[in-house]
Amino acid sequence: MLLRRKILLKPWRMLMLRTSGRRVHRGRKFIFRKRRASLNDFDRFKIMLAKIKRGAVVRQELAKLKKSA
Amino acid sequence: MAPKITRKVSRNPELIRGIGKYSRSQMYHKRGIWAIKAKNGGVLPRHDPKPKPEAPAEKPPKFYPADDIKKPLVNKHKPKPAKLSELIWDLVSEMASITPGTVLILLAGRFKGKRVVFLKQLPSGLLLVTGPFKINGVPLRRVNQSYVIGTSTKVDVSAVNVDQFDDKYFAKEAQKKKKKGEGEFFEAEKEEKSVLPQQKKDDQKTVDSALIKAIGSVPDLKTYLGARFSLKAGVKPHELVF
Repeated sequence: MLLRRKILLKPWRMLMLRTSGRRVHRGRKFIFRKRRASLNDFDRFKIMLAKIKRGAVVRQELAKLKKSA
Repeated sequence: MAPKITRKVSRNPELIRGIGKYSRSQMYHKRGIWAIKAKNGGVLPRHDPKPKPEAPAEKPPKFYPADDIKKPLVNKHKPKPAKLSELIWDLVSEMASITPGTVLILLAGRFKGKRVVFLKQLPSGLLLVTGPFKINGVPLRRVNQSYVIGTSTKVDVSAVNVDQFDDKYFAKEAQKKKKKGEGEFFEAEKEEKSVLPQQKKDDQKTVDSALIKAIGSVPDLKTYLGARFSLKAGVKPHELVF
C-alpha cells in the first residue's frame, strides 16, 4: 500500500523542525516560512527597511567595482 | 375625631394569589362596614361625581388645511458606546485588542492606509486617534471601530493628557445663514474657507509633543508610523498577523 502524502508530510515536517533539517535546503525553507508567518506588521516593516538598506549597500559596492574596472 | 390611618399592609393577607384569608362577610365585620351603615341610615355614604368642566366652544376654522405639513420622525436613538472589542482579523492569530497606545491601521476615509495611535474611547463609542500630525498628517480625530485594524504594536501614551477631548470638542459649529439682500443677490457667492481655530492647533501641538517623545524612544517606530500600509502581490490579508 502506498502511504498518502499527507500522512508522510507531518512527521517529516516535525523532523525538519527538530533535527538536521536545518541544514537541508527544503527544511530551511520550511523553517523560514513558519517564522515569516508569525511576524507582525511592525516586524514586516523593519524587514523592509533592512532590505532597502542592504540593497543600497550592494548597489554602492557594485558602482565602485564598475568604476575601478 | 381620630386621624385616618393609611394602611401599608392589607388586613386580609393572601394565602395564595387571589385567595384571601378572610371571606367577604368576615371582612365586612372586620372593617366595621355595619357600623358605618348604622351611622348613615343603613346606606354607605357616596359622593356625587364632579361634573366635568365644559370645554369652551371654539370656533372651527372656515377651511381645512390643504397643505400636508411634514412632521419629522421621532428620533429616540441613543448611541450605545461599542466595547473595545477584539477584531475579527485577529481572531485567528493572537488576540490584539485596542488599548490606549495601540497602533491602528485606518481602512477607509481621507486617511486610509495611515497608521495612527489610539488615545482613548469617547462616550459615543468612537475612537480618538492621532497620527501624530507632525509625523504623518493625521490630526486628532474620531474613527469608528469598524474602520480600523488593531496591531500588536504599542506606544507608551502615559505622558499624553487627553482629558479635555470629548464629542462636543469635535462637533461642527452651526453656521449662521446670512440673508441675502437685493444688492447682494447678483454678487457671486464668496465661499468662505473654513479656518481651523487656533485653539485646536495648540491642542494638536501639545498632544504631538508628548506623543513624539514616546515614539522617538523606539527605533524605527517613527518611520513606521509615517509609512502607509499596503499589500503586495501574493499576500493573503486573512493570514497576516498584525
